[in-house]
Amino acid sequence: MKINENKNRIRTIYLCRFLFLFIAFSFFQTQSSWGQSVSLSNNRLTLRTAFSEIEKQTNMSVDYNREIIDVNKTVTLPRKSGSLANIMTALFKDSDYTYSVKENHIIITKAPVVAQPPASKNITGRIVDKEGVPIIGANIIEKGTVNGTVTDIDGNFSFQVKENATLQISYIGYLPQEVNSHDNTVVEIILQEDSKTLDEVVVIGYGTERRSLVTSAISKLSVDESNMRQINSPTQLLDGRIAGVSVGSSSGNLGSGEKISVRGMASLNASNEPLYVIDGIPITDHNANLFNFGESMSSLAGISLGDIESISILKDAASAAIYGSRATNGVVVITTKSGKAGRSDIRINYSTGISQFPNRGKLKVTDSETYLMQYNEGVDNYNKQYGLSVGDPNYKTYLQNPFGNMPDTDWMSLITQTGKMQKIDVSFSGGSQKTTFYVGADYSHQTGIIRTNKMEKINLKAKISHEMNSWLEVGANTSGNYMKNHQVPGASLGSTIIGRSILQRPFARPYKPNGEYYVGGTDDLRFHNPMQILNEQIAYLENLRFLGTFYTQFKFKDILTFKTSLNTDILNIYDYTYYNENHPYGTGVGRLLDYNRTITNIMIDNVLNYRDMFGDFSVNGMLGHSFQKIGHRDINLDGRGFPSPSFDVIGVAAEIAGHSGNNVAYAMESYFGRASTAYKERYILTATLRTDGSSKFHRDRRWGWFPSLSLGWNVSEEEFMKESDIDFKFRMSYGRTGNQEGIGRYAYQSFLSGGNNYGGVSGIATGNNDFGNVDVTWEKADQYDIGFDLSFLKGRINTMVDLYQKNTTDLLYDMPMHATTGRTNTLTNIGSMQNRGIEFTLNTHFNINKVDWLTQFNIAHNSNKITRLLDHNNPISIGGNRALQVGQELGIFYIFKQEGIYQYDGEVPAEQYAMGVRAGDVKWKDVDGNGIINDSDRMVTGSSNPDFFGGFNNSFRYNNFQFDMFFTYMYGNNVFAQWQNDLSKVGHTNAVMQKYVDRRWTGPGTTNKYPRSVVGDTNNTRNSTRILEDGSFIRLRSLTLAYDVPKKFLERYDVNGLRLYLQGDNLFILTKYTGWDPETSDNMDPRFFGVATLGVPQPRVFSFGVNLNF
Amino acid sequence: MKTYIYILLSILLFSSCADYLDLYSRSAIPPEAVTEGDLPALRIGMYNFVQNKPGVRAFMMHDLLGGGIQTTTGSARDLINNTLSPLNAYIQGSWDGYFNALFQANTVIEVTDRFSTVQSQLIKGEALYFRAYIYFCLATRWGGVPILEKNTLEKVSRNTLGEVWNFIDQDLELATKLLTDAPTSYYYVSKDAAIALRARVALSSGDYANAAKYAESLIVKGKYKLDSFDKIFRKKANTEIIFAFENRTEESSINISDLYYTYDHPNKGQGSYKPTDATIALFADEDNRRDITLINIGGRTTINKYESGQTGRDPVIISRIAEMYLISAEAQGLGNGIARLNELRVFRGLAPVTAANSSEYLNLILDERVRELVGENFMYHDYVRTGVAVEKLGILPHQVLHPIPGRELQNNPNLTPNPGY
Repeated sequence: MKINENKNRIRTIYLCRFLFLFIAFSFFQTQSSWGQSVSLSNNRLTLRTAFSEIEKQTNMSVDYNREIIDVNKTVTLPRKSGSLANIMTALFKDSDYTYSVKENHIIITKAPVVAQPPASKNITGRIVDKEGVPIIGANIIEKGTVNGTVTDIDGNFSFQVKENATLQISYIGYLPQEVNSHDNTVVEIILQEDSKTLDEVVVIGYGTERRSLVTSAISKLSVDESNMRQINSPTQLLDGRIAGVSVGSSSGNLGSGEKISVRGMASLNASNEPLYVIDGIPITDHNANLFNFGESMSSLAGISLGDIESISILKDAASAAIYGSRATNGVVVITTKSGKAGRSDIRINYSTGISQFPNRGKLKVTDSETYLMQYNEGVDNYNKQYGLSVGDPNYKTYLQNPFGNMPDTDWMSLITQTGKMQKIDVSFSGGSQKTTFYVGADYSHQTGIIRTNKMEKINLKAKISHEMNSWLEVGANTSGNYMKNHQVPGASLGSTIIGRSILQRPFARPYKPNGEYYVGGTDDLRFHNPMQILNEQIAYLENLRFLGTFYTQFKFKDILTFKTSLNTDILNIYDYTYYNENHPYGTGVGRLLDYNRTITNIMIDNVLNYRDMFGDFSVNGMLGHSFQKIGHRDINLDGRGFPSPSFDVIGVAAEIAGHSGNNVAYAMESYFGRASTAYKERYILTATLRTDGSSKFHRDRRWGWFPSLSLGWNVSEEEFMKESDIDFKFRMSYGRTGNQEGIGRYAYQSFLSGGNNYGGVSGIATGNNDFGNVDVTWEKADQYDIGFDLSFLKGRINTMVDLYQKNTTDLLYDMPMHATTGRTNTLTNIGSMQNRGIEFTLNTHFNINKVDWLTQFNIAHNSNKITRLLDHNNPISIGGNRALQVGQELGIFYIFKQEGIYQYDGEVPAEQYAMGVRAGDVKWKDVDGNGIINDSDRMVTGSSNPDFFGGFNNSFRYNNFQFDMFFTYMYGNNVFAQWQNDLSKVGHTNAVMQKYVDRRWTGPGTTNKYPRSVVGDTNNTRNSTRILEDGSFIRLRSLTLAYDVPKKFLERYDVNGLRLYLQGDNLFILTKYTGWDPETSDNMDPRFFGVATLGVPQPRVFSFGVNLNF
Repeated sequence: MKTYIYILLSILLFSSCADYLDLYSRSAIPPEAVTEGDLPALRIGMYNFVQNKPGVRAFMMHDLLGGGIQTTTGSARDLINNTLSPLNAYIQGSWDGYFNALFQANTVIEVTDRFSTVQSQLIKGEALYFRAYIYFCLATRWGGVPILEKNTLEKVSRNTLGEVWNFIDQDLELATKLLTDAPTSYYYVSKDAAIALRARVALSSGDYANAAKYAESLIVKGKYKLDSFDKIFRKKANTEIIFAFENRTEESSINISDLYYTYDHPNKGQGSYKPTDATIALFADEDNRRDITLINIGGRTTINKYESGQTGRDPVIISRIAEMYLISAEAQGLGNGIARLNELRVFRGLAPVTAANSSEYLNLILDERVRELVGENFMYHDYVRTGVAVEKLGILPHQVLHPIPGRELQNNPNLTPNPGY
């Protein structure tokens, strides 16, 4: 214990000394402006090095065109330092280059050729990007000549050209373009961004880096209008967009929970969800609902999508290890939009649409006549096999339609509806050289595809940063989110809305002739009346979230920066469930579950950044410290007794029949650092180290160390590749990450817990599986990644390939215990697991005549294996249909196997015959051959994990039209269609699907697959291979047709851009799966994922929208 | 300059947070921190655990398997066949729950041994009673189970059924010495509760002399008298109950009523189970137990002994004096016993009976036990201990014992499964 304490102190002291030195330095003010002095590292150096050093030492940026200016040219200077003007002149003394200065841009061009060919006209124009932002320093050359110029600060240019000249325009990061001047003298040219990824800026932990210097596996999704969908949670934007990232959802209800997995599953008990970081704040990803309304809800659904600029996924350990202990499952870094200097932008987005329940007819149940026929056949079979006749105690009687000839009820159409939505978001952004700001507001209102499901969202955002002077910058970034979601009962609740509709017997009716409800669970109505459930309850989730960062950044020249920030993520969740006196759960007097929770996540970050050049070496360093505390307070009341349904607040309740409440917290302290060096941008070496201490572990096991090392080789920067148009970078990395999420806050401590009361007196007891284990410590994952980025045909084809292996050790696992110990499991670091995989991304960009064709394709394969667990290799049964087994993957099914149908009574083993099994019943594989079908006859088979999965987008642009077609797919995953156990029982009191009646066994030889009808069956609906299905699919995720209204119509209204679009989401799915949606799963835990219950499928959405920019 | 020093200082402060990483729960204490002052709270926790941990179906299991109860669609035999499987969640849940509760009882016994005050000895008596009660429940389900005098992590083996009966009897013998004669209410364990349980254990283990002796001692004591069902099962003052779990709504998850009542009843319920027609037919019109025992809701007759439905919970009776009458009648045999049987019958509004021989007498006793005790967790074990289960319930010979849960066998290879499963 002592040792750790001392270590911490020493660390702290070192860090603080460093900070002191740094702050002392920062009192030296730097000079600004053109007259400032510059000191180069060497007096013989390349132009590239010189430019980059000048950029670092001044606030000027050096702009040039790579294709015209040979920046690898070495120059010799009379002296290393001097005023910027002198240095610049010296640099170009012996070359035909020259420079000009516009504000803080130094623009390098070729010196005008003295003997210019006769020019016959002056052409002027403006070059902008597709958002209308002027491009400064773009090169314009008259084709076939050396005659050219560069755009100024406003993107304008003007020079003399021949009649009918063709202009060649180029700028880094944009695709080159040729324009014929014809007889125009004024042109406006929009440059398209180069999809070549190598030059984009990507977010790395606690900083950003140019793509060419990144040595780890980071994928980035820039969020814009073209990939926006009608969804609520930002994670769903990632669906199919990024190789190795799979997104599953709980159901198609509004705000339903999601499961993201990055490179497979690395944990059993600990969380498998990635860490979410929004603008530098590691947020709390809690289950949004307190009262389990039958499905998990997304905690991210409240966040505004309109404000998001990009989402980066730190996939490998080298990129994620800087987030240390919480990064085993990857890190999702969400960056929001900021204002841009020198601009004033207004953006308005509006969309509206409808949603539908897709493929409803896939589950076709019988009509009343067929239902009665198959039920009564089951009655006959039962009475016959036990030799029962009228009067015997166990004799079964026929069922008759109690409602005579009234028409059948279409239960599904009673509960479904067409969802409607409206969304609007407005933002204002802009700034000056010193100050930028962004202010935005969103409002949306949606109704779901099940009646009463609706959601309202309001988001407000303000972001500001200001440079007080040359060494001090301050800023704030805040957002307030409000979400109110009227939920409908999900698949795992007793009042599950689809389960209580489709399973009703077809003749059953919701209302009595006098208008009252038929009550469920009686002879009239088999299950709860879904209309009664929907009409007599009010259930909503109200989510208030404040995300805020306040920071101060000190800068010393451009070499050192020190940023100290206070980050907060504060949530209030109100979970309101009111069952009035007419609701089945209303206990006859009305019942209100009034749940309230506040989560305060407060973090202090101090980060020191260092960046410098030494000759051809660039050096980059970062040191940081962070402390985070997450408090969690809740109070839950169960009130009963309300005078009438109009009284629906807790204060009215006659009694509080139950209560709970707690106040818990955990904290984490971290020190982290990164060092990175690059030689001529060719060879890049990055190392990171982080140590985390978590309050979840005992003092002696508290600190975990998480290092990483990565190497990059920009092959295309080598001399021999210089001439080619190929960009090629090779990367390899190793890193270690940790996991502590998903385990109790006080997991190591043993408890006598309060609240075990009796007779109105408070009692304490141990044995709620909180025995504690002081040895519990970090789960660790060692990850190796090797990959390359390749771009050729001038960036028209880009690929990214990664191979990885992730070995998890010290797996946090609730080890099952024999119950005679008083507990059924105990949290231990036991076992290990391996994930191996390959990811491939291909982006292309071609022009075919006037059509711009862009594709993004990705595919990933992951194979998971549990390599060690308990001291044996037998399957460890978990839940009703799963197991963990060493040597197998996480996600296998452990179920009975159907071998056929017994055709004759004589085939039935005596033990099963005694239990009532007869000809026509399912013949299960009797693994141990003892005649009895029991636990030991279950087999490991199938898996919920796909062999491969990914997405494929095609985008076509023609004039002002853009057409996007986006598919997602998955192959080789099994879905356990649990719902079939309810809908396939012939001779049962549930409704039954037509298919099972039509195909049922009716005599020897009729079928070897579908069992006979028999009431009281206990044999045929085991969890088995009978209901394990192939869940492979290809889904048309979205189809978008957009039209950009031409600028010339807009200019007179001062409008910069107007885009209109139509979008269809989830238009069709190709799959062999017989249910509604192979992607939704009631349980999001990877151990249990892939089990389909009667949940709401993802809706089909049609929408129309407008994007307007001023 | 001062400002910067302040900034620096604040950074320094933020940088040394290591001590903030020691966080403790505010709703629990570590076991080593238990003092004598915590004993009463520990005792209450034990009551809570024994009441709650085995789960609601543990308090119904002998009814569900006793042939007198069925699901709304399957027959009584279907229910038995479905339940008696090593994979059945209720079988496993009650096994886990009993041992979980046992852990608490053993913890209390261990802690009370540290202190020798009167109070601690009283609490020890209660803990011994609960341990005996838990072992009775275990033995009547699974037969010979491992005897745990102390909590242990070892992979224990099974003891014989005889050893378990002895162990229970020892605990009860000591408990009767330590327990008080006058508890605050019948919701707390008393000396009489221990005697009543001892009578039941003696009957189950075939020690009829002692069974009759203990039962009679309570009947003749005078403190307990037969009382009306309306008082016994509707939380009114009564002279019947010897010990019951209070089972308050906010302290319990044991909701038996919910599984019998349907949503047609004003108090609402899931209505998972109902009595069989044969059970219903046992109740004559003049039987004054009938209206509290059975109720007709929307055309379906179901058990009415627990009245709260989904609005709350009802006490769960463990011992009452009528059971002592039935134990005494059975243990003394036809000759001396029939008087106690008829005494009970007459009090319940029925005519006295006679029996020609002892097997006819046993049938009378068993039928009377259904009338008196249906819904109170007796039937299956009554048929098993009197050796008539296979014949009466139509079950297979091995089904007189519950299967050891599959999960338990997997985690403890030293346990032998019960034959036939």
